[in-house]
Amino acid sequence: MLENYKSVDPTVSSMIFKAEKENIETVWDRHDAMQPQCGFGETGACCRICWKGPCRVDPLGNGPKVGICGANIDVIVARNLLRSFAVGTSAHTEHARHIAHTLLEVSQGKADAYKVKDKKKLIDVAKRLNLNVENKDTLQIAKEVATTSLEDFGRLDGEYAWANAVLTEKRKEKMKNLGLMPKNLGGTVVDCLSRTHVGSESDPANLLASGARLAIADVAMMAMGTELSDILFGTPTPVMTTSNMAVLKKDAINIALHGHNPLLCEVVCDAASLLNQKAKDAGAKEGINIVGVCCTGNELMERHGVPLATNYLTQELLMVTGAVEAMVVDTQCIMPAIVETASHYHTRIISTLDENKIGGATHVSFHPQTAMQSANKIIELAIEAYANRDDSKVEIPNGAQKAMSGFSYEAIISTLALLNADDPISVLTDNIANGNIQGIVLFGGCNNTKVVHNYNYITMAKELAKKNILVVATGCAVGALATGGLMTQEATLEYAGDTLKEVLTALGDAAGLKGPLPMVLNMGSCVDNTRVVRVCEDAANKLGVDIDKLPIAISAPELMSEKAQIIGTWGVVIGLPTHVGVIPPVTASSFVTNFLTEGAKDLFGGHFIVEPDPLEAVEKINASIQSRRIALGI
Amino acid sequence: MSNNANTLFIYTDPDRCMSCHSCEIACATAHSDFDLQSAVILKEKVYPSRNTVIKVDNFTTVVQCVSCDAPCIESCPIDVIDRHYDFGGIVKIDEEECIGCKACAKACPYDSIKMVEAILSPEEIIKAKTKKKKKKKLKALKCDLCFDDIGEDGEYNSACVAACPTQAIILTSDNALRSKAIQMSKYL
Repeated sequence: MLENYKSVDPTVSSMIFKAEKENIETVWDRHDAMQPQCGFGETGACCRICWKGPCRVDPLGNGPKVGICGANIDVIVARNLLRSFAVGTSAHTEHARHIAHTLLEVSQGKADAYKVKDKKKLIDVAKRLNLNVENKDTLQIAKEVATTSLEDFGRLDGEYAWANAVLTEKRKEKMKNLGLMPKNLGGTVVDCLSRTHVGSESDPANLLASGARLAIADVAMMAMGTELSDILFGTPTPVMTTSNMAVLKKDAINIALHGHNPLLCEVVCDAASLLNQKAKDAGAKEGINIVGVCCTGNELMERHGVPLATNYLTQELLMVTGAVEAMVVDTQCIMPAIVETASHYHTRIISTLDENKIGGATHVSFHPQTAMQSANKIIELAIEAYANRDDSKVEIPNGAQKAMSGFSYEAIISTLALLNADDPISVLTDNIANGNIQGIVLFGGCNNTKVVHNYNYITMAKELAKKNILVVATGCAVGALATGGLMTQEATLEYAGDTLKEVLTALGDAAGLKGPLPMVLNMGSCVDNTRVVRVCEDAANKLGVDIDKLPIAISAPELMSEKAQIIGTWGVVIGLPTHVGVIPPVTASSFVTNFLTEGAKDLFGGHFIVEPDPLEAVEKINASIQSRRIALGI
Repeated sequence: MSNNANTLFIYTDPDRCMSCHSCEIACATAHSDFDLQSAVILKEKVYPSRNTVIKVDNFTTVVQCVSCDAPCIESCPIDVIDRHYDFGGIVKIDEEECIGCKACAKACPYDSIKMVEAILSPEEIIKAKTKKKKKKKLKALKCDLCFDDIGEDGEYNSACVAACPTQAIILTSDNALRSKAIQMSKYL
């Protein structure tokens, strides 16, 4: 039935049609051109680590069984996997480092475009990092928070402050006992990479164990990214907005902000409001219209209600509307293909980070110290591009989808507090215990051409809600579930099971929404997954257990990136069943496959569930949740 | 090569072959009951490929049966190798019936028939265990252009042709290419 579908978002489908008509290549064309994909790569049986290679072990067992150096398939697969994890962690590291460094510069008065917007969060973070806040002014606390955070990158003495802040006491103890508590971030990444050098580690179990240590380093780093962003830009609170490609405006200068880091997009928004009149003077009646793509979009959506145009897979299609003046990008998940797509229109692709230049794009170098000047230049380039817009090529889909965003950890706790001010988390745990809420599933991850765009997310979320499982989402799952109309009160009324509906209605009514909370709670960008960890941590502490006992699971049904791979891994390592809807390239090694899907359970409590079929996946996730409920005696 | 004109065979252009071995995986799985991921995950036994990537001098290509005069047909003592004139003259071994005597492999002038250990069904395994003589059962395998996958409309669906990422592998009956293939594998 789905064979002829590429996406389930109608605004995307209409742009795919337009792209075909205009003979513009899309990600699906490139996917088709790439078929069939190499079986050695698909199963992880290829090693390109040293120049004696490439070596490939025959996954079917008839050809070579070891590489030229003698590495067997388990070593090859584990090494490759660990390398991917290290890259994913590095990407999170750079994100967090930029923000921590900017916070330091704010505290030193060197970054005028930024300030401490959320003092309450600053103090909360300082306390979690065990810093003394008594008799200190805001900038002093900011400086100490930034310094402690930056020390975590290369800490030699003492404990990894953010790992301490993120993990439950029980999990900390467990990781220490396993010898898998990281000391710092940078050293852990380097340690993992050095193990994979030719002739270094060839014990697949120890390679995987170091992946688990790396996963803890990563979850801590992601928490740093999110929490420090909240300090600088505000902690999200529920906000109503719109989503899908119909959020573009015909009579506005449309600027799409794409990538991951809020440092850039926040300032571009500020500059846009200041230069709005200039845009009107250039002939755009509605001034400047900022829309978000991918996780930059999520960052803007959760904090300011900026419309989210689309998620990862369809970034180039946004320009096929012919109505995007500029696509401004920072880092991660930016397809090099956007430059080619933009060349068919008047769209300017503007890269901003000196360490993430995009071949063929216009580069406007962006630094926290001179952020406003760069942002102004970006807006001016967009206004300039507007003069070249070809109206005959403009076609903006109709029917923007309503979506609610902004459910940070703090927002969720304050909502729960409306029903029990003294003990907010008990509202959640009581409803889990009495079965009104059977469990929680966090959707995260990316899009992947191996899956019909957004289909798995939407299909699974509806089915899970029907089973009274609370669904929360981050990253590109947000794009899917927002455009799919599931971040609305209507979705709760239509799809949620009776008891889930009851709880969401009680909370929504208490919040003055005159109806339920949305069926899917939008918790932000992919780096914001740690918001969910904090909810889990509170629930675990309330119930007196560790996270690995909670009826909570993660699902990444359309994942692809190395960041998503390490996020899924820390999900497992902190004790959660984690579903992936794409078969990871590890199957050639039954040792690695068995460890990820079974062995990890004994060690960490969490494990990977690999299931490409969305309905089967729902059954498997639900089975995990139900078995945890039974074990808890609820 | 008098009577093989216009018989179909698989030819690999050495200028395009990248030696990735994708064709070998495709061949092995196409002649099994599993796709690659299932075979690997379920640890199913799969016969080796009927084609082989080779390096000769400074180029790489893939060798398999070139559909020649086929002395293998005459060599078979139980007569289970046939040429299918309705289907491009494909020479196919009935692998179910093959007794693994190696006669065809010896007869093949281009070493294009592989003798491999037979994958036994559970019943056959039990039967083999009760036998006194523990002799390994063999099967003869050769390229059959994915005979079982020929479409109802007569369309050939050779797995290696579809799997090749550089389109180096083609189905052809060009005798000049047949000679070149034999030459590349150093038999001419």
